[in-house]
Amino acid sequence: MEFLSKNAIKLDKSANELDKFVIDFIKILRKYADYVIISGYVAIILGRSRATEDVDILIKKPAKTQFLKFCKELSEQGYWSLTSDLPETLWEYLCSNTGIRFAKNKTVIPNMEIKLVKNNLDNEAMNNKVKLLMCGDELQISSIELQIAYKKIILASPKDLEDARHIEKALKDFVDIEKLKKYEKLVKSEWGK
Amino acid sequence: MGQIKQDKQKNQQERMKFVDYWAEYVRTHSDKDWGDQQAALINSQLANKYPLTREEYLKIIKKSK
Repeated sequence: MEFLSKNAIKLDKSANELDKFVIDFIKILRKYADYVIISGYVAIILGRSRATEDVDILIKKPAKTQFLKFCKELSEQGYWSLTSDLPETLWEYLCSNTGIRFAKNKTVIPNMEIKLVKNNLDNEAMNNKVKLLMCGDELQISSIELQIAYKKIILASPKDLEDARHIEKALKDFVDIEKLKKYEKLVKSEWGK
Repeated sequence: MGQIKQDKQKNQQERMKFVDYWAEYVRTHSDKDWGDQQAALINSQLANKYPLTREEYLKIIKKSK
């Protein structure tokens, strides 16, 4: 792992099947919306020894026309939605803060779950992204420190505590301790709301 | 119940020990090295996934929340 800057990490590894799924999907998504990958896949792409059935993504709300074009291109490129076959319905779900899921045609795993940015923590994730360079492509992932704080304090399941621990230890040369403390405070205050 | 709780705690401690071990391995080995090992795990899990319909999957997700 090479830490190019405070906001950029380079990985020199081959893409596994989950990585390929994410990279191919993001190539389409980023044409239509600003996004950030959060949660389990962040730990996995940074080496965590587990798989996941879904990848969580936050997006800034696009224009409806852009979103419908996005759905059209996904359909043309061999994806379907697990949530609804109707793009208009998917738009309504998205705008009502319900996650919408997409997978390769006629499959369900792996899938991408997309949600709109809706609160302060989501905004922090969107505004403090880390660029991850891999296989000649670029993914935008959540701030490492925010992921650690969120998993330790809010999610806090055994799996999430393990994810947080993995990120903290594997990236101990990169983790900004002051930033981590700041996010732990922020997460606790948001959690109390 | 006391024994079960103790076993659960012991299990979690052992799992964390492995997390620490593997995190250090990732930190100190090439991306290709740990990436290939991780790929074997992830690719095999995805290849052997249970065939679910869309509806079955969404039902499972809903129940788990």
